[in-house]
Amino acid sequence: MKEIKIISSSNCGNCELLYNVVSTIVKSKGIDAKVEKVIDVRELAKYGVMRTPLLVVNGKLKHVGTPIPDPQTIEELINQD
Amino acid sequence: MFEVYENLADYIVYTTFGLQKGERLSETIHFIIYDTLKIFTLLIVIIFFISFIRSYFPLEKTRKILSKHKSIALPLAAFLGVLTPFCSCSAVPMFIGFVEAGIPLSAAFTFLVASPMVNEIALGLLFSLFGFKVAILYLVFGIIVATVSGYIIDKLNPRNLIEDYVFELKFGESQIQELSFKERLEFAYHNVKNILKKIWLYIIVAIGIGGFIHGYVPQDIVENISKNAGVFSVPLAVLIGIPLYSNAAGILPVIQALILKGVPIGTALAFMMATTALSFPEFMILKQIMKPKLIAIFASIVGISIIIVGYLLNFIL
Repeated sequence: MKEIKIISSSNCGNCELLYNVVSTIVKSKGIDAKVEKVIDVRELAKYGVMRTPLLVVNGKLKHVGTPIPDPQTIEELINQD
Repeated sequence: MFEVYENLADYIVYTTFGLQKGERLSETIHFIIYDTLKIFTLLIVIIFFISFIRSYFPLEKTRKILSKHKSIALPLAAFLGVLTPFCSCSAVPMFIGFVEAGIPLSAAFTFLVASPMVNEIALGLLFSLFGFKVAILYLVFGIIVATVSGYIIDKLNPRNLIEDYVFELKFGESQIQELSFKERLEFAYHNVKNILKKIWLYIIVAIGIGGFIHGYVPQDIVENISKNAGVFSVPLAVLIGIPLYSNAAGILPVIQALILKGVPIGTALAFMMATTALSFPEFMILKQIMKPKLIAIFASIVGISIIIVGYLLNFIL
């Protein structure tokens, strides 16, 4: 099972958007994954990033900041290793 | 440069609608058509261009540049603040990241002011609606406000008003990959699309106000109001602007109306600076890392700097 983290900050519309898109993709494509939203600046620091949102799959950083990729790209980012 | 639009507006108003030249209604409609075409063209070009440049300065890179040039970090932070895309939601990680990289607090505060205040939307809108001179003045005085504010806040020794964990957190090596040229163009394109989607209505309202005043309000009334604008209009504009939460676009119809009503440009720009640089939601975000006293100091110093700049601009213009 994949572990997907959306690392966010408070008051961040694009973070909500990414979380919703990822959740929808996982559900509709039947991907075996746990999607979790994390609001913690420590998590951002770990990846040396100051922008949000971050898409992290199994501990690997897949995407940073805005603009948010289109759903198809996000699906590829989730599936690639 | 925009003759095509002038001719198009002529054609629509006088030929298609068959309205008479020189009448109020036809002049108003003509103004609105022409201005809408002109302003959207300018906005698309300006926002695309600045966004493209901005793609070279993500927050992480700006942090790196500042940490390498600590001795000139203060003015550099103001300058880079203009070039770096900023979202108030990044304020906390940005502040911690800067501190962790050993960037002086003065520069962190300066960046916190410059980045939201002077941006591609503000500059694009000011240039399109009020011309080159106003946009440049906003840019230059925005940088001055940010630099001076950062310098003064630092002199007040704010260290003990900042939460301790800000100074303890360690940042990992950035894993962000450089964008390709194509990705930068895409970034700029997306930015133009997203920004226009958010602001088009505000712009139409602003142009509508402009068109109405252009066609229906006699010039001498405008000049009269201008003469009667009191000496306290600048601090009043700033005080009203601080709690308001809006980006440059949302505030634009108000600015347009104010300027066309004869309110001096310095006062209007001070209002715009206060609205974009300071807001209650941002204070709430900053509360995660700063004591309320420091947020109050921050808001006061930035506010006072903007008031002084407002007076200066009114004096110059």
